[in-house]
Amino acid sequence: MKVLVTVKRVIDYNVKIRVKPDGSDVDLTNVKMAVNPFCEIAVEEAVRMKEKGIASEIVVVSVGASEAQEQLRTALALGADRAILVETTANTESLNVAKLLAKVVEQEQPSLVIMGKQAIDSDNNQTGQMLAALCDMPQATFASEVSVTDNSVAVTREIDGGLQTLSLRLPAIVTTDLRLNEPRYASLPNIMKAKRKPLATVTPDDLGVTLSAHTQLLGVNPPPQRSAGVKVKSVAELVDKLKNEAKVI
Amino acid sequence: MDFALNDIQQMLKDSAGKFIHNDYDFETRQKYSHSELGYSEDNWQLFAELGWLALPFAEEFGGLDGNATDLMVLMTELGKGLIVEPYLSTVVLAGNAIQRGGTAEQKEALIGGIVGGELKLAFAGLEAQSATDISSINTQASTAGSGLVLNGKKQVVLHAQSADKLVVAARSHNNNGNIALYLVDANAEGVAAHHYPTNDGARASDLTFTNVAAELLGDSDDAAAVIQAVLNDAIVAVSAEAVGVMDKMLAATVEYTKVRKQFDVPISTFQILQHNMVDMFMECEQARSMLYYAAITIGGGNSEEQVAEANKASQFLKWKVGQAARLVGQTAVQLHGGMGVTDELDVGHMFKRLTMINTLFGSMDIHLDNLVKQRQAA
Amino acid sequence: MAILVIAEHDNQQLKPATLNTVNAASQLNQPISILVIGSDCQAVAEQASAVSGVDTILVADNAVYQHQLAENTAKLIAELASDFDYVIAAGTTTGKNTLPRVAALLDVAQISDIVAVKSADTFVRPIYAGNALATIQSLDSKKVITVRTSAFDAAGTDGSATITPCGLVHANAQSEFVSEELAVSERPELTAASVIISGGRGMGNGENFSLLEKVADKLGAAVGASRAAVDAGFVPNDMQVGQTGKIVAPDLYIAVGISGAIQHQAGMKDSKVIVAINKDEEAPIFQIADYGLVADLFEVLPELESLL
Repeated sequence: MKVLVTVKRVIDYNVKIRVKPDGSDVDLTNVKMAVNPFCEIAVEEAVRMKEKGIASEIVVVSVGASEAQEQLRTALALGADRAILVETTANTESLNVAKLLAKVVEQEQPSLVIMGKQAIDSDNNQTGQMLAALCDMPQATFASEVSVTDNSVAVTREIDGGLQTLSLRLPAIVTTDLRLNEPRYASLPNIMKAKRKPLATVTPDDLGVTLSAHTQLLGVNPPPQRSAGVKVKSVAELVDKLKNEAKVI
Repeated sequence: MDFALNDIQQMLKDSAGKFIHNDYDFETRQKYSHSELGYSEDNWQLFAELGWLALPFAEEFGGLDGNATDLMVLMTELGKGLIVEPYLSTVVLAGNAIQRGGTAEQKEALIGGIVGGELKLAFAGLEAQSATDISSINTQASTAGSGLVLNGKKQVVLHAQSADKLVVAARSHNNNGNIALYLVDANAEGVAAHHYPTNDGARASDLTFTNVAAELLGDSDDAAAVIQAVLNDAIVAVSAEAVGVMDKMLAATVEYTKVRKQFDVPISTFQILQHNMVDMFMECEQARSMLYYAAITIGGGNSEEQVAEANKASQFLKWKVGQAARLVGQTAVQLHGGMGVTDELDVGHMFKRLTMINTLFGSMDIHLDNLVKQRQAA
Repeated sequence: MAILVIAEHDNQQLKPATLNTVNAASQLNQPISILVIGSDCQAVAEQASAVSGVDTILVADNAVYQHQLAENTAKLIAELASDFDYVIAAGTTTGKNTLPRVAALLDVAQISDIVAVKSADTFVRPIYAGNALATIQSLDSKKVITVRTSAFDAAGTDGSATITPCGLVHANAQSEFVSEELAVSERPELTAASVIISGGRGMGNGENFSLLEKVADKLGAAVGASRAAVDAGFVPNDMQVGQTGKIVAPDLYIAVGISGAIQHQAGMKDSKVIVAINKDEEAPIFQIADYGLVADLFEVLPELESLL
C-alpha cells in the first residue's frame, strides 16, 4: 500500500515570535525552522506502517519555497522513501495547497494520505479536509489511533466530547492529532541514507494548476497585553479579592 | 571560506538537539547523575540505535566514517545537555585509541562491540605525579610467563566504573623508555578501583594495577603518536562540548536578566550588565572560531607538517576555550546572583562542567606555557 | 447577503456554541438562517427557533445525517450554500472537521477561528498559538468561516424563527460511524462554562482531580486540564485546554499546578480573570495571572473549598 505524507516547513515550536514593527507580518528573519510537529507525527505513523509491512512505499510531499527541501530531507531521514517538493512561494493558502496536493495525489494514487491536523504557524486546520473534498475521499481528522485493514482504515478521533471511531473506505485522508504517536529521532545512518533518496521538484505549472489569491493579509498585531497581576498571601485573601475586587464569584 | 554545516551535519545537529531538549532536561540529567550507575543505560542503547556510537569509526568495523567536524557537531549538542553517559571515554578516548593503534583483529573484536552498545571502555592515562605530562608516568608493563602484566596506579580515570575494558598507558614491557598502550579487562584480577563522583556530576576512578594481565594494543610499543592524535581529537571533542555549554549559559543569562527585576526594572537594562553579556558573546564566538579551525586542521592529514599543524591547533584551542569558559562561566554565575551558586539551578552545574573540561588534557595555563616555550625554542 | 449558520448539536440539545456563533454572525448585519443537520433532531430545531435575530431554521432530518459525518453533510451544506453568501459554524471539532470540506467544494477559502468581525469581508483571527492576531480580508464572493466561540458573547433566546424542513438527502458510502466514548458530566461544558478550574502535572495523579471537582462543585465550574496532565493519563483528552485542545475564555480561570507553557496559555489567556496556584514561584503562569498564590495546592484546595 502506498502512503502519501505531507510536511510543512514552519517555525520551530520553541521559538517565540515577534510581530514586525510595521505590522505587516510576523518577523521570521533568522528564526529556526523545522518540520511542523503534527506533520512529524504523520511521518512517524507512516514509517510505523512500513515497519509493520502495511505500507510498501512512503512518499512525502511539501508545498513551499525551495528551503522546504530541508524538511523533506528530514522526513526521508525518518523513513520516507521518496520526496516531492511543489515549489511555490506565492498563493500558499490552504485551498491552493490542497489543489496542488490533489494533483500529486492524482499522479501518485496513494491508498492513504496522512497529514498533520494543523500547522502551528497559521493554526488553520483546513488543508486535509479540503484535499479530501477535492479528491472526493473520506476523511478522519484529529486521529489518535489509526488501524488499516484490507480496504478500510479505522480511525479514533479526538472530538470535543471525547473519542469517536470511524471506519473509512480506502483511499482516505487522515489528519493527525498530538497523541497519535511519539516521533522518533532521526538516526545518523538514516540521515546519511536520506541524501541518496530521490527528491523531485515540480512547479504548479508542471502540475497544471493555476493559483489565485482568495484572501489577503491586511496586517498582523500582537495580542492585547494583560496588565500585571498581584500575588496573594493566603487562600482567604484570594477568595476575598475574587468576591469583592474582581467580582467573579 | 564556507563554515556552514552540510545537510547531514545539520540534520545530526537537529536530531541530537531534539533529544537533549525533549529527553534530557536538567532535572532528568540530575536523576541520571545521582543514580547508582551514574548514567542511563537506556540512553546508551539509544545512542547505539541512533548511530552516535558509530560516528567516528571506519565503515569496515561498523562505523560511519565521521570526521572531527562531524563529531564536533554531535558533541556540541550533547554538551548542552551536560550528558553523564560515558561517550567521551568509550568513543573518543579508548575507542579512538583502538582505531588508531590497534591490530586488525583488535579493531575487529572491539569496535563492533562499541558501536553495538555492548562494550564500554575507559582510558587510563595520567597518574598522581604525572600531571598532564604522559611521558612522566610510572605504570610499568612487564613480561610474565607467556604474557604481559601491568603494575602501577592511575588517577581520575573517567568513567572507569562503567567500563568493561580499559586502554592503559604504561612504560613499555621492552624497557626502552617508550610509552605503549595496553588493553586490560576492567574486572581482571589485580585491578583495584576506587570510584567517586566528580565535581561535574560524572564519575571517575583511581585504579591500582597489581600484576594485571594485559595485551599490547597494536604491534608497536611506541604509542606516542597515537596518544597525541587521540589527545587532539579529545581536545576538539571536549571543546565542542564546552562551546555548547557556553552558548547555553549565554542564552540563559540573557533570558534571566530580562526577567529579573531590581529597582523596578529588568536588570538587563543596566548598561554594565549589557557589557558583561557582550563580552560573553565575544568569547563564545572566538571559542567557536578556534574550534572550527582546530576541527578542520585536525582532520588535515598524516604528513609531518599536517600533524605538527594539528598539534599546535589543539593547543591553541584548549587554551582559548579555557579562557573563554572562565569568563563566560564566571559571568553567568555572577549575573544570576545568589541563584547562580545553588545546586538547584543548572547554571552552576554548567560552570562546574566547564571547570572540569579546563582541567582535562591540560588546562589553558599549561597549553599557553607550552606554546610560549615552543615559540621561544623556535 | 444572507448568512447560513450551521447548528452545533447532538440531535437532542442545541449547544451553546451556536449562540456565540449567531452573535458573531449578527455583526455582519445580514439575515441569518440556522441549518440543523441530524437525525430525529426536531427538538434541536425548536430550540434553534428561539435564538434571537434568526429568521429561518432549515432542518435536514434524516438517518444518513445521524452522526454528522463530513462526507455527506459537507455536500448538503455546499448545495444549500447557493442561497447564501456566508456559511458560518462554531470552531468546534464538528465545525473544524466539516467546514473546510464545504469551502473546497465551493472553491473558496475558509477563514478559521475568527475572534472579531471588522467588516463584511474582513476578520481577525489568531495565529502562532495566539501570539499574533492577523487581519484577513476575504476575496471570495462566498465566505466560509468558523468562529472562536470564546471571543463572542451568546445571542439571546427570545427569537421565533420559522422552521422549514429540508428534504435534501445525501447518502454517505465512504465513511461509517463505528463507536463513541463521550464523557458524561453534570458539570458545564468547558467551552461554555463561565468558571473553569484546571489541573496540571502538579496534581500528581487522576484521583487528586477530585480535589478540583469539589471546588468546581462549589463554583458551578467546569474542570479542565493541561496537556501534561492528559498525556500523563490523569484525565481524558476532552478536558485539555490549550493551543490544540479547547480554547476557553471564561470569566474566571483557576490554574492549579499548571506551569503555564505557551501552548496552554494559548488556550486560556483571554479569560477575564486568571488565578494561578503553584508552589513554583517562577512558573510562567504567574506572568499572566491576575491573582497568584505561591503555595502547595494540596493545602490550598481543601481550604478554598471550605471558604467558598
